[in-house]
Amino acid sequence: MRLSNNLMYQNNINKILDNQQGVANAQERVTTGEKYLTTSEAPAAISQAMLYSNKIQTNEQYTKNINQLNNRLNTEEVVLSSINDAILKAQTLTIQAGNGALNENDRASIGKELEELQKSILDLMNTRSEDGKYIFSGYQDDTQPYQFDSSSGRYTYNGDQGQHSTIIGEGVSIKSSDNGFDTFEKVDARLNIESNTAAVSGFITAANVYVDGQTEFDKFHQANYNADPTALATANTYSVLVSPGATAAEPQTYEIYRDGAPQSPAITGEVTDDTIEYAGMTIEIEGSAPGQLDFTLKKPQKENILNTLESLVNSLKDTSSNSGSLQQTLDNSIVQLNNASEQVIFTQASLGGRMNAVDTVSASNLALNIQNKASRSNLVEVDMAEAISELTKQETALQASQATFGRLSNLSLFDYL
Amino acid sequence: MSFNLLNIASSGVRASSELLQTTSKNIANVNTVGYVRERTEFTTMVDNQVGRGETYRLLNEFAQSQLNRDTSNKSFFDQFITEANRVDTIFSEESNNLSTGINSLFNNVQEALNQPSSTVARSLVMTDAQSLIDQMDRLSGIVLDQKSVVNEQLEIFSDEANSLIQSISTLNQNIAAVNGTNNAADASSTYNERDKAIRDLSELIDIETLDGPNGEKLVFMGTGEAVVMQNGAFNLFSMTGDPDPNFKEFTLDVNGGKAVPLEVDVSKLKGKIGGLLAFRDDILVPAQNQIGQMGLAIADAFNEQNKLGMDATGQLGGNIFNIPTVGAYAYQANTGTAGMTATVEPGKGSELPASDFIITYTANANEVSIQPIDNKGDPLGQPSLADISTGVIDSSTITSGESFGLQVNVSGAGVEGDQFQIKLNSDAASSITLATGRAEDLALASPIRTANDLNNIGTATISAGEVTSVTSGGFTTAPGLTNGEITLVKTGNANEYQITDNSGTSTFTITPPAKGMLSQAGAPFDTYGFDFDIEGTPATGDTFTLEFNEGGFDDNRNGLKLADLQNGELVRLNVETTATADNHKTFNQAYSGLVSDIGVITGQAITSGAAFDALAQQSEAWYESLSGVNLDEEAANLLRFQQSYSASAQVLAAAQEIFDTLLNAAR
Repeated sequence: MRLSNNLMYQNNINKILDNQQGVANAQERVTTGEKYLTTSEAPAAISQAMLYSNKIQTNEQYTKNINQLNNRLNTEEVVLSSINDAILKAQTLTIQAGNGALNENDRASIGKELEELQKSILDLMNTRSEDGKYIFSGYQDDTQPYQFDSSSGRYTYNGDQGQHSTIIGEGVSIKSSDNGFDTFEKVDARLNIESNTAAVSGFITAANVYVDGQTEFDKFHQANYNADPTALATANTYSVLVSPGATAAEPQTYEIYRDGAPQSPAITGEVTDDTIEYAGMTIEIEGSAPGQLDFTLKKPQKENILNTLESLVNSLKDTSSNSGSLQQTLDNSIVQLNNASEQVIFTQASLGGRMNAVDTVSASNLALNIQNKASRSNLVEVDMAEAISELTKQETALQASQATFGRLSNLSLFDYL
Repeated sequence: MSFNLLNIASSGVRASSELLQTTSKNIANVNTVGYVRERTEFTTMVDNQVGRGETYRLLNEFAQSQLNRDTSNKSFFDQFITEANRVDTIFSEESNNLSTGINSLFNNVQEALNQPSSTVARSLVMTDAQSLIDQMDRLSGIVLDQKSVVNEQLEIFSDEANSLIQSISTLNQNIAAVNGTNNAADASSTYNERDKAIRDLSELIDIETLDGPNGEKLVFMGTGEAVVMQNGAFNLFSMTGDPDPNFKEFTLDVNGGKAVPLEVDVSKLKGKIGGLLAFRDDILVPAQNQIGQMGLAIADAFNEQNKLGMDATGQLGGNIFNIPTVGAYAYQANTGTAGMTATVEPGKGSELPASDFIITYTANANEVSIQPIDNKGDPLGQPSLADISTGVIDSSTITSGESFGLQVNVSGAGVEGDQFQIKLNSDAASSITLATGRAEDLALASPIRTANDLNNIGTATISAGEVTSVTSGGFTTAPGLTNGEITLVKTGNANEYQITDNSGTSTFTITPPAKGMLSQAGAPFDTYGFDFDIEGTPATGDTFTLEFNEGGFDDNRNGLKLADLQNGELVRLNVETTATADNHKTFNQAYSGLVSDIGVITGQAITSGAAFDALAQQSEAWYESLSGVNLDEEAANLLRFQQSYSASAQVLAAAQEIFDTLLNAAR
C-alpha cells in the first residue's frame, strides 16, 4: 500500500507516545505498589479487595473490643476472688463461734471480726471501675448496688438485672458484666420451719420443733412443699397427734397429719423420751397425751450474705440472747454462707468460661485477619520483581522506538538529488 | 513543418510547466491539513499537440466517508474514556473511599458500646458521623463538578459544530457558484476546505453525506436529521434544560429557529458530543444517584434505630441526621399551578431505589402516577398511583403499586398531563446534615428493662425485651411507660398467665412457646410497641416485671442494634423486583458495587476504544494511500518533469534552429 509522508510520521509518533505511556504506567506501579492504577483495569478484583479491606477494618475494632472486655472480666474476677476469700474467713469464724466453751466476751469479739469482714465484702460489692461506674449494679451504673436501709435494718440491692454485652467478632457477643442480683441476691436461705415453738392443743402444754438433720430436712422440704399461690394457707401445716399408750407402761404413739388429713402411707410411731424424730426434725413434747401440736414449713427464701452476716453479728453481740436462738442463727449462717460462696464460685465459673470463649474468638479473629490481608494482597498488590522487570521492558521499547525514529526519518530522496 | 514543431514544442513546454506546478504544489502542501494530492493529466490533440491538462484531486469518496465514520466512532470513545478515566481515578483513590468512612463510624459506635456512659466515646461517634457526611458531600460535589464541566464542554462543542455547519454551507455555495465554469480546477482549495470542515464535524457528531447538485455536499446526522441542505440552508444545534435547567438536552433548531426544536436521541449520537453525553448518562447520573441513595438509606436507618432507644439524658432518642427535602422540577409545558417537594418517608429509606422519578397528573382528579426512570430518562418498571387529596404522597396514600420510600408534599392545583421530575437522590447527597452534635443524643440504651422476682422457684427467666416502636402508644413523653410497670404472674393453670399494669389486670392463655408475651396477651398490651419472652419453665406464682429503664446508662442494647446496621441489608438494588427476590445489599456492598460499575463501564469503553482506534488507523491508511503526499514520489516526479521540460525546451530550440536555417537558406 502506498504510504504518504504524513502517515509515516503519524505512525512513528504514535508508537513513541504509546511507549511513553507504558513507561509512565509501569513506573507508577513500582512506586505505589498497587497492581491496578484504576478500577477499570480489573473491576472484579478491586471490588473484592474493597470487601476484604472492610473486613480488616472491622477486625481492628474487634481487637480493641476484646481488650476492653478482658479488662472488665479480669477486674470482676479479682473482686469475686476477694469476696470468696472473705466468705471463707467468715465461715471459719462462724464455726468457731459455735464452740460452747466460749463466753460472752469471746463471742462478742468474734462478732467484731465478722463485722469487719462484712464491711470489706460490702466495699467489694460496691466496687467501681476505672471510670467511676459501679460494676455490679446492672444497667444503672451510677447507682450504688448495696446500701444499708436503717429503717429495716437490712442491706438492699438497688441495681437491676441488666447485663452488658460486647461484640468481639462477627455475630459473636459476650456478656461483659454480672449484676448483683444474679451473683449475690439469689442465695438460698436455709430451709426451715416457720417457728420453733409449735402450736399446741389438748393435754400437751408446750412443744419445740428444731431442724437437726439439715440434709434430710432439705430433701423432705423440697419434696413436700406446696408452692402454689392459690393453695390454702394450711397446705403446708403438719399436725402431730399424740395418743396415749394402751396402758400406762406403754409408750405414747403419734401420727402425723398434713393439712388436717392423714398422709398416705400413714406416718405413725412411738414417742420415746418425750421426743419424736421426723424427717430430720426433733420434736420435744411437754405435757401428756392426748394432744396435738402443729408446725408449718417455711416458704423457701433468698438471703444475701450481708444480711446473713448482719443477723449473725447482732446475735453474737447480743449478750441477752439465749443459746437456742443463737444456735438457730449459727445454723442459718453456716448454710447461707456456704450457699453464698457457691453462688460466687458459680459466677466465677461462668466468668472463666467467658474468658475462654474470648480467647478462642480472639485467636480465630487473628487467623482470619491474616488470611484476609493475604487474600487482599494477592488480588491488588504488585509483585515487585514482576513490576520492575515490566518497567525495564517498557523502557527498552521506548528507547528502541526513539532510536528507529531518528534513523528512519533521515531517509529522503531529496538528499540524493 | 517547423511551424508545427514550434506548436508541438510550446505545448510540450506548457504541459511540462503545468506538471511542474502541480508537483511543486503537492510538495509545498505536504504539511497542510486536509490537503488532497493533485495530479495533472493531458490528452493528445488531433494535430499531435499536447491538449488541455486537467488537474484533479486524487480522492476516493468511499475511503473518505469511511474515514469520517470511523473518526466519529473513535472520537466518541476518546472523549468518553478521557472523562471516564478521570472519574474512575477519583473513585479508585483510597482517600475517597466511602467504605472507610462508614467503617470508621461503626467502629466508633462499637467503641461507645464498650463504655456507654462515657461521653468521650460518644462524642467520637458524632465527630465521625460529621466526617462521613463531609466525605459524601465531597464525593458528590466532585461528581457535580464533572456535570458542570460536561455542560460547559457541551456548549463549546455545540458552538463549534454550529460554526462548522455554517462554514460548510458557505463553502457549498462557493463551490456551486464555481462549478461548471472554467475555473473549476482552481476551486480545489475550496473543495479541500469543505471536506476538512466535514471531517471536523464528524469528530463532533456522526454524519452522513450525500452529493447534491452543483458539487454541493448535503450533510445529515447519523440518525437522519438534516443539518446542511441545498442552497445554503442549514439547521443549528442548541442546548436546553427541561425540566432541570442544569441537565441539558441536545436539540436541533429547524427552520432557522422558527419551529419547535427537535430533540435529538442522544443514545445514538457518536462523536465527541455523543461521548460526552454518554459519559454523563452512563457514569455521572448513576454515580450521583447511588451516592445519594446510600446516604439517605444510612441516615434513615440510623435515625429510626436511634429513636427506639434511650439517650444519655434518659430521654427517648431522636434523629441524628437531617434528611433534606428537595424541590421537584416542573416541566416547562406544565399549565397548572402545582408545586412539589420530596423527601424520604421516615423508616422507608430501604425502599428508595437509585433512580429519579416523574410524577404525572392523571385524568382522575386528585390522582397522580409515579414512574421511576432510568439514567437515560426512559421509564423503568410499572408506575404507581397515589391519591393526593391530603396533599401528601407516602406509603399510606398509594392506591396501586409501591411508594418507593418517597414522601412528597403537593401544593397548588395540577392539570392533567402536568409533569414533575424528582431527583431526590442526586440532590440530597450533598445536603444531608447532622441534626445534633451532642454526644448525649446517641441512644445506646434500651428504654425498657425486665426483672425476675427474687423468690421465683421455677427455672424461667424473662428475656431482656425488644422495642419495635415508640410511637404506638406504649411510651409517654415524660418519658415513661404509658401504663406504668407491667407485672406478669404464672397461674396454676397450664400455659396461663396473669398480667397487670395501670390499665388493669387480665388473665390469658398462651400457645407455647412463650414468645411475644405482650402480643399474646391481647389488648391493650399488644399495642405498646415492645415485647418480651419467657425462657424456661416457670413455676406457679413466679413473677416477672417490665419497667422503664430509668438510670440504665450502662445498657448498650440499642447501641448493639445500631452497630448491626453495618451489616444490615438496607440499600435497594433494583426498581423492578418480586416479593421473594433478594433485593437489598449492605452499605459497603453498595459502595463497592458503584466503584466496580464505574470500573466495568470504563474498562469496556477502553476495550471498544482500542478496537475503533485500530479501525480508524486502517481507514486513515487507506485514505492517505491515495490522497496523501509522498515526498519521494514527488521528488522523482520533479526530476522527470524537469527532464521533459528541458527536452521540450530543446525541441523549441531545435525548431528555432530549423527556422533560422530555413531563413538563412532562403536569403
